[in-house]
Amino acid sequence: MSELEETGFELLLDAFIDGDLEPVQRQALLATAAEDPTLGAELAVAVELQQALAGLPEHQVPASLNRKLQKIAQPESHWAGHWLLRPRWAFAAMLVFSLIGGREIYQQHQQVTQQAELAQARQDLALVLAYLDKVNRSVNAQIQMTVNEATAKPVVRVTTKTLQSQLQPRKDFEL
Amino acid sequence: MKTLFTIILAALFSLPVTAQTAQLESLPGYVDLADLDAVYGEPRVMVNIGGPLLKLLSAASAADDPETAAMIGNLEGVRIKVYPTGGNLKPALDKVNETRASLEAAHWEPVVQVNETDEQVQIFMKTGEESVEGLTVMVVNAEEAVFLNILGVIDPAQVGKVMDKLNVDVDVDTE
Repeated sequence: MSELEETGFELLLDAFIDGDLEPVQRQALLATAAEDPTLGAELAVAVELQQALAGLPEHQVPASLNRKLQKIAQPESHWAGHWLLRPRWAFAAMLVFSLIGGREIYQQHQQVTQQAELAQARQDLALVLAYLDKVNRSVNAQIQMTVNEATAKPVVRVTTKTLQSQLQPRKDFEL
Repeated sequence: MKTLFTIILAALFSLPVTAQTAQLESLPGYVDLADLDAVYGEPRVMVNIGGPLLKLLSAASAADDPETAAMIGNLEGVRIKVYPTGGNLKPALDKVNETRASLEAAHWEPVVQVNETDEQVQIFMKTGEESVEGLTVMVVNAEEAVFLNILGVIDPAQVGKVMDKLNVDVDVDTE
């Protein structure tokens, strides 16, 4: 039996003891053990061990032991060992992403608010200028009217005098 | 540049209104607009735009319309209060007379005074050593009392043109 086959057989035996083998794999293992006395002996030991384990009473694992067992490092897979997946780094990464995302959202919100306020200021300025323009028009109209009146009065006076002076001889003649 | 603009805007918008008012109060063209809330209630229109915001409006218009941008850029503050008089002119006229006295004491020059039976218009201008520092307009008629204060340089002849350029619909009866 090669080293590889031995390693494979040991894994199969472990799985057999744990009861994790499929029926087909179990049959294949038993057939192989029947042909190879060494493997057969090992399998016999494994079966005895399995039966002995099965016969053990179940005990509640103390909480302290359970905690200690949970603290034992698990075998690291490719992703499980990745630094980003370690709790403290994962938390830090999440925090950084949250801050960046939050900053982006905040800036967008600020820009929208500022644009709205600029538009409001524009509207307010136009409103003030509209009132100023209204006053301008009103005052211009008043000034124009006053100037017209001021100009018209002397013209009317002169015209009236002229007409009166021209009409005077005719009145004398009529008298 | 855009980021800088955003930061400046954020700083400006975060300025409390009281800070902006305090900033305006220090300028020579500032006039304490009449407070007639007790008589007429809340003003129908109240606008208070400070210099920094006007400068930003100017900067925002610079690319599209340099003429409007220049006109807005010369302004340091724009304020207006409009109260509905509902035919009750006396409190507003008293306030106009009071303000007129304080303006004259502060060496504001009366530019236009219209004393018609249905309308009173007072326009005062404050000139500094080199340029105009402020314009104050007070109008009282049966419909409304307008108190307007513009800080900085403004050419009344340009007002209509700039309003067109601002392209904002405002609800002011210009007839």
